[in-house]
Amino acid sequence: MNRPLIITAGIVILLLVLGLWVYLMLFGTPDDSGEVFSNLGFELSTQPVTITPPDPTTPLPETTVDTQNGQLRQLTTRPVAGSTFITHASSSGIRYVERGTGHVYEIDLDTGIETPLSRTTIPQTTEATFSPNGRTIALTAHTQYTTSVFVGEIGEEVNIEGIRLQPGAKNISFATNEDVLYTVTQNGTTEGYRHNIHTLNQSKQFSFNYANVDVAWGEGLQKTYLATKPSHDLEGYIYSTANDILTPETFSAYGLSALFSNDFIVTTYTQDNQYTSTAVSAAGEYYNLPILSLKEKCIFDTFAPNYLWCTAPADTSSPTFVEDWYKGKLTAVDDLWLVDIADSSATLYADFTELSGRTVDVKRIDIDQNGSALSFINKLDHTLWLYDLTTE
Amino acid sequence: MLLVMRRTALFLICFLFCATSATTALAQFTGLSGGTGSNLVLSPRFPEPGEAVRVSLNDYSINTNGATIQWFVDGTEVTNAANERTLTIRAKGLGNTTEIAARTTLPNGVQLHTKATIDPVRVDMLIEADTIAPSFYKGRTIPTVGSVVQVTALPFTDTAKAPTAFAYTWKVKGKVVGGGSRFGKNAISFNSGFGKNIPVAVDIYDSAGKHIASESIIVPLAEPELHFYEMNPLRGMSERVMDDTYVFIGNEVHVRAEPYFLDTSLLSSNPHVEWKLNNRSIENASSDPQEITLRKEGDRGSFNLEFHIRNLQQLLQGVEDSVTISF
Repeated sequence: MNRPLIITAGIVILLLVLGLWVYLMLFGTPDDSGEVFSNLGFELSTQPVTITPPDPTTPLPETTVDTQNGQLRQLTTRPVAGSTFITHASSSGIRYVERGTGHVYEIDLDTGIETPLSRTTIPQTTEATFSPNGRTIALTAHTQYTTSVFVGEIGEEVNIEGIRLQPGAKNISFATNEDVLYTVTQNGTTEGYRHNIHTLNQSKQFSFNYANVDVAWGEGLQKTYLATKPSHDLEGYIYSTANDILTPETFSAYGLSALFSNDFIVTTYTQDNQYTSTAVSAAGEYYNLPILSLKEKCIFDTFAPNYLWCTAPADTSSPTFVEDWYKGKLTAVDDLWLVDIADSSATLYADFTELSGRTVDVKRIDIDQNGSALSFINKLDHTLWLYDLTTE
Repeated sequence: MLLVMRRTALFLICFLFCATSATTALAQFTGLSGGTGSNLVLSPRFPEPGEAVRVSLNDYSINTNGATIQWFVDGTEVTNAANERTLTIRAKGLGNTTEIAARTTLPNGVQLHTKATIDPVRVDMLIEADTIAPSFYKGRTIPTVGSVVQVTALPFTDTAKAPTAFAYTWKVKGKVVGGGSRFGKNAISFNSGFGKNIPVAVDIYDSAGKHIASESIIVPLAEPELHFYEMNPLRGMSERVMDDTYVFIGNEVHVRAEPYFLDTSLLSSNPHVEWKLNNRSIENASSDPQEITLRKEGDRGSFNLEFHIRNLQQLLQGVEDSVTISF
């Protein structure tokens, strides 16, 4: 046997084993043979090394939402401060503001694609009110005992640009797409203002020497209504105001609050130590309603003015139900009802718990322009939900 | 001579007495439109629109035994109220008056007429308190012991007038406030002090000084409350109360103690604030004395968190409560 040949073979084998050991130490066990070559730099692909970023003007779809399955659907996992239905030429959608950040998104209800419209952060945004065309938004931050409101238009740069209203602005609404309505209270007097966000012209609409007032105005209402905030211990009143003259609109009652349209005032108040609701027509006729019809949980039908979509729990017997709900002390396990005001009747339309398997406590209900869908925020987690009225 | 003079004087005295009596009697039987002899008394004196009004015939100063009584409302006789001494009707709406007349026919045929007008005035008494509640709370802030209370009167008459077009005399607990009637002062503020209920009354006068309405209410005093809410640095305060079933997930929880219905002066009064953990006072490093951050130690457990806040200048203004938090 040739000794040098054996020694040479042994050295080669030793080097191969050493090389293999080094490869395994550096790259681990390869999944396939091709990986060995690519790890060693022997790539055969023609992949370019530069990466071209996407066109910044093209909105990036972040998520796809399931908008098709089920009559009752949860649209967001993000908490929502406010929303509105949007109609485009060939599609319909729902636009919402993320609670906390103030970011704005739109969900296409046909495709489920969710598109960011504004990434401008307005910290601690807890409420959002949209103009009729959905382009102007009033974002409210609740900071301890006061409010801070930013009103802006959705811009072309996935942003929102606008102005800040007076500190403590409340009762936000829109008279037009450019005119925001709000109130400010100082020294026990509430003053209402109309403010154009383009011209910055501001005009006082009314003055009322009372601080705890809810104002219903704008959004197609022909009158401006002033309602004392509800308390089951104290008598409440509802007025309309014009040229600084107050006109009583309904009876007074304890715990009184109301939802307004141009045809009805739907009042909720305490009677015999529990809450009840009554609708008053513009002609002064009264209709007892069989279920509690709180303004935060009800909305008039788009086309039938004497029909009301209401969400309500089965048990509202506590005389402090409304205030406890406002404080967050109790949860309302809501179902959906269709109330016929003229007939003083209500039909159970949907059992939300049965449909979703979860508790839904509705606040801020809305209806689309076609009367085909309801949207609402679940108070438990502030997520946005949709109920399809066209599906049986 | 003396006897003649005495009899003449006696005659004159008797004559004068009889004449006066006749005159007086005659005055009692003529032209009595709510004047002497009989009148109508309304209850309530200043009825509101739609309110039931009891009209009583007051003629106790004359002898009406055997008399018949007829009632007329806006000129129309109310036959089913014949010979009744009271009539109950409902006041009309604002701006609509009701004329009530009563005709008493005595046995000798003499008729007594009296009338009254019901002119309803609505007076709303709006109560509120300068007390605190979180800005998301949609109810009314209510008065508590030691808080400042405001009562606003809004009168509504047949003609639309601003509330400041009237004069007001206010009474709190039966005592006149502000020294008497004051023009345009349709609201008052006062400290509630002790007690549970505070009576407040107001008399309202028009620009001619005519008393047009009175109203009185009871201002109930509630107990302040304290609730705990979870705080998120970005999303702000949760709107759900942390109750004893609250379980926090994660390593720490931010808690805010939110008092309801303590006077707003509390915020600027450097109040006494104390946090306790399992009955032991703890230091709070947060810049906001009503917020605290708690970090858990261990995998599971629970603790009792207590908060106390009190206005040291107004000791009635304070509240304390606790919550059990699990993790």
